[in-house]
Amino acid sequence: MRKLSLFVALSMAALAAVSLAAASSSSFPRAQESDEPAHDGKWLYSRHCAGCHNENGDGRGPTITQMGLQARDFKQGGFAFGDSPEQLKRTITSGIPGRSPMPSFKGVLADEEMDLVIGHVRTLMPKRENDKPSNTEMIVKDRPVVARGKLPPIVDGAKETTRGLLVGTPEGLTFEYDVSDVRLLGVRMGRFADREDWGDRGGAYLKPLGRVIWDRADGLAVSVKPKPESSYAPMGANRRVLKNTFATKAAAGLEFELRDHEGKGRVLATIHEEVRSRTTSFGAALERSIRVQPGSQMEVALAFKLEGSEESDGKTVRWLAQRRDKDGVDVTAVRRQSTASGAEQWTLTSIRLPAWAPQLAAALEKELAP
Amino acid sequence: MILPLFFQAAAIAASEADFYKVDYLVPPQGERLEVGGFDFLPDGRMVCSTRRGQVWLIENPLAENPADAKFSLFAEGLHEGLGLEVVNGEIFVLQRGELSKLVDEDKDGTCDRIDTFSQGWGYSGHYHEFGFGLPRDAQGNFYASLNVSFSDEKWWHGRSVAPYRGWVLRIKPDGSWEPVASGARSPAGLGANSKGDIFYTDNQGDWMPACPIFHVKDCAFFGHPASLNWTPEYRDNGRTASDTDAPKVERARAAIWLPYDWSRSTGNLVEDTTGGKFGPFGGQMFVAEMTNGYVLRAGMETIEGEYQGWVVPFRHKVGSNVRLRFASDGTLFCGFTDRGWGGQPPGDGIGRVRWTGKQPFEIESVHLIGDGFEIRFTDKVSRAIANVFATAEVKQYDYNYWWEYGSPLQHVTPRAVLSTALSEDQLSVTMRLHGLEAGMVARVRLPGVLSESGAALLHDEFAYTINQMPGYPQKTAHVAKLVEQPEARESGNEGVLFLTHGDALAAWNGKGWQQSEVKLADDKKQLVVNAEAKADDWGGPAINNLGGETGDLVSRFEFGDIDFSVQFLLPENGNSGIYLMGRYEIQLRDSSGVTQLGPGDCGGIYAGADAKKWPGSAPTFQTFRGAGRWHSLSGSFQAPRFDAQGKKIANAKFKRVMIDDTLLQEELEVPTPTAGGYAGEVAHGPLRIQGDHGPVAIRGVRVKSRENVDERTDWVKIFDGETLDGWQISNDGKWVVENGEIVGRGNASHLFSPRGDYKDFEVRAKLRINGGGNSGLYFRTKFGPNWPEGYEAQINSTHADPVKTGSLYHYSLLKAQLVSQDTWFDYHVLCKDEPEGTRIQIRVNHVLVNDYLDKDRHHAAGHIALQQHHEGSVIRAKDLEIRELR
Repeated sequence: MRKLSLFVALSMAALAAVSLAAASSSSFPRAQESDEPAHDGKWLYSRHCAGCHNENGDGRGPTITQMGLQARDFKQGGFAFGDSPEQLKRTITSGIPGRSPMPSFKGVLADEEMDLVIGHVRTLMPKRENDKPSNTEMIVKDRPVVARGKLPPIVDGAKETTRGLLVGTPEGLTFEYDVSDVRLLGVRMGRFADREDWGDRGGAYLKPLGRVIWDRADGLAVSVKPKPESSYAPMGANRRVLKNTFATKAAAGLEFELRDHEGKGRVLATIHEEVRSRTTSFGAALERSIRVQPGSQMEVALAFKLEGSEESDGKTVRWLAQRRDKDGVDVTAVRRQSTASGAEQWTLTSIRLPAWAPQLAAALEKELAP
Repeated sequence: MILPLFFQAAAIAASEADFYKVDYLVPPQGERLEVGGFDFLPDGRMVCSTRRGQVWLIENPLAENPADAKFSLFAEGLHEGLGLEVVNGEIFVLQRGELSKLVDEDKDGTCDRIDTFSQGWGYSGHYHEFGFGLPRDAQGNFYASLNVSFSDEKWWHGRSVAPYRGWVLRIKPDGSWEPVASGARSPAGLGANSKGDIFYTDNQGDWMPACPIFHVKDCAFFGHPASLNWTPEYRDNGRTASDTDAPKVERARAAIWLPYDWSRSTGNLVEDTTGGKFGPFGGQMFVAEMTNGYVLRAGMETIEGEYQGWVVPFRHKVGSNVRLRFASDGTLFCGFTDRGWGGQPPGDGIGRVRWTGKQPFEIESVHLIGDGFEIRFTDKVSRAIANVFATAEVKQYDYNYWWEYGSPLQHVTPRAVLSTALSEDQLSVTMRLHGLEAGMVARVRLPGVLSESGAALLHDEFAYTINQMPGYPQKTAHVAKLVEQPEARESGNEGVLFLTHGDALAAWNGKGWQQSEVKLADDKKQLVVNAEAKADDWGGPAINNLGGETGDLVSRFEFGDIDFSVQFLLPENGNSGIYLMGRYEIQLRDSSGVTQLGPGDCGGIYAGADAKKWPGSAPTFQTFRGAGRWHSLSGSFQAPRFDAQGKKIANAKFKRVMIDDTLLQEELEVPTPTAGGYAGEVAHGPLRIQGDHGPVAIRGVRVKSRENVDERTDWVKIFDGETLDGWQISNDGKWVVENGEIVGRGNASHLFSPRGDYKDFEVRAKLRINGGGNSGLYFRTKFGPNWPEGYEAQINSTHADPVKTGSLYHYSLLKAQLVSQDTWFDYHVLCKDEPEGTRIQIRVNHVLVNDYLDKDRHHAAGHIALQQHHEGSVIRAKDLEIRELR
């Protein structure tokens, strides 16, 4: 049997996520422990939301003001992640990953309580004549959606992606790929996509509507490459070729083949990549699972290249603490598992925390451990 | 001739619907089915892919009542889907960048996995790079065809900037693929016959004089050069195909050229393999046609090993047909989409054509014999064959193979009918003709054919593409004949005058017009300033009126024979127009949804004030793609001609008018100004944009004068093309001769002609200024350091100095940027003393842009000189000539 190592380079920063702690100087929220009397949406809003969004919804609540920030001003409308009841629920459930202190209220508010809060928030919004999305907007409902098309540049100055691919999750994340080399370009949160190419003669963009919460400029590049015996293949020498995309109620993602750099196109390995969002008690996280499909007649291994990062010695969980700034630090947990079918699988969970402390690592490790 | 009238009066009128009925499936409320491909699953369900990248399952597609066919969404999010084929129950869909297999693993009616079956051909991102499919041959190979793009939307030259654009591909059952044949332009439909031979249809445009059907053979080249970029001969030598030179590559001959009045936008073709369930046309091909909404019927025969054949109209006004497919019960399914082009309603959805069981009286088939045709009919022909003879109309024609967009019919020649004879069984007529030629299409009309029971033909015309006569030596003549190519209309921007670049309003007069980017207002009825838009390569912001108190926008310059192009944008119900010479109006209008086009619709030539003298001319198509979108209007115009006494001897003429890539008017004479045009007819007049009928925005106005021939022979060279001997250089400037051109670089300096006594004269030169450069053509100037005395005709395209080319510095300034940087232009200056002062006229690219009388006669006589303005500026001059006036 030929040996093959796979090498995952996580060069700089990680997927971003949210910490509740940033929004509250006390402790992490806990699920309600006792039966409290039923309250209406306004009461729940005062209790859970007004600290940041303020009683009148203008986003200048005392807690957030103290932090030197401003929350979404409901009175202005223009919700980044959508203002339909469905979309608001998604935001409240998952929180907003990235730089925003908006936490997940999953486990804090019961389902019907969220509906009551949403009802109240919508009274603070400006009235709109037509709540119906435009007829070219693709909406992700209870099942992930994969969409293909030409994508606009993900950030100013980048190139457009002529063969682009979006994976939208029901929680409101959009993973954006370039099909030509099966590269993850970035992750967005919010509404899914507008099919501008349904207008005119076609050929216009499949325009993602979410806000970029992570992009390549942030530096994360996961590349899987074969390592024949002892020497690494030169960077980029092998080719990654899309094999399929999938979207079922349970999972969404894609598979690609790693092909021989000699140009003969020999398949070295088949990689299965799933993407999802994950709710933790520390906030919403992004998650990618990368699995080397069995049957490639090769033994595989995964390695991490870390730049300016810290890592734990844990056997099952390794920590990549990356990109610190004044508001916190992006942390990626990498777990290695063997699946039932014998395939090797790595799961990358990325979350944003206010600080990287041993007690946080321990708590997260406990929660994420398989 | 009384006979034909008598017989026609006796003919029994029949309509297509008596024999073939059309109905329409009912998609779910609010859904538009823009069909790209469809096929049937083994269980009888139809599966249909759309331009929206959706794939629909249709239960019960053969239901008697079309409303009983039920739609469910199987997949969405594909990058279009302009070809679909079911193979052994598996669904294959062609996306822009790949051929995919759609899998429903858990059988819940929703696709959950999309396998990339084949990929690797190029896609640059241009809208026109559609991929079409998807028939299979006997070996199970798929075929796909790839459109070229247009990098220059001003003249619609097709380009192939990504691999195998303009090719037909063969995709093998293992997913590997190979390019098979090149030379396609807009190959919107493919089809296979029952032998497994593959055919494709193309669309009229550059190098495609009309819409053809080609047999796809390995290594064939169909005629559009762009695709040759990917052949080894070009690729390995770093060559790219020319837009305007015919390539020296052997061309395949189209099996059938579809008459343009029958097919303007051709889709796919299918063979009737229903075994008679669709009527009497088994084994023949049916062809989808979008613009007219026709289904055409065609047959081919093999002569000297090559397919050629005939075509007839089959069914009119079915819908914007792009895809056809037969169902097992003999129903012909028709898939529609016309988004962005405008076709016959319905513009989307699925129609069904079904045979009623009644036998139509039709031309069944046509067979070419050496000197005529054997024409078979579906029913017995009346024995009154003399009437057929008397009324038959036969003409032959061919086309130009050239880079122009489409070709008019060429060499249209009537052919005399020598004899007609009815066969013993009365089912066929043999028609012998005088002078029938290969390398031409024969169009034959047979109004006199009546059935024995007195029925007239349902369709009495056919067109046969004769590449080869049976029994004759092999001929190589093409129907699309190589002709001397028209002069390239544009090489770069040479000869073009830009009227909306730089400080654009300086080139126009007009009340209420401003220069800013615009967009559609939220109500779609108005235009508003779009502060966010960035200036683009159309030469900066649009100029527009946003409604209110506005008048027409009239160019400060006057033109005669010109090529022109203008971008325009209208709001909903917008109405404007462009008057050539201020007199002859091309209507610009929101004609969305208009099916009966008139002269008042977008691209129409408006009627005259006296509609009896000039009723106007409707555009051939509805091309308005929607409010708030930029459209490109281009064309070629010829001013009226006058004799020496001022009497008109030739009418004004629109040689062609196009909107985007669609030809709307061609060789159209206009005998009077259109309503609202300036009175009288003259040799030169301004461009005039109608501004009092509501908001409109224009940009990218380009005019190229065709009055560029000066037949006077008494021009004298000032510069011999070799040396600067005798010339004087001030300030130690760097002036040299390179390639027969004077080139000025380096520090500021002037180059003075040897003679210094030019007084009354015309001087002309070809000049080129670089980006950021600044120069001037001086005259009546005196040698001296620094900025010399004298008149200066400014040369400046993009230097910060707001005074641009065409200006007479200090006296009469032009701030519009009329010519591009790095582009040769013709400069012509006239200077002469008149009783009231010194007359100075400046022409740029043969258009008078400045006419000034210097009453104070500032400069009397002197040198001709060129300026080098600053380090970094580069001025080039050649063909510097003078003609002294005495």
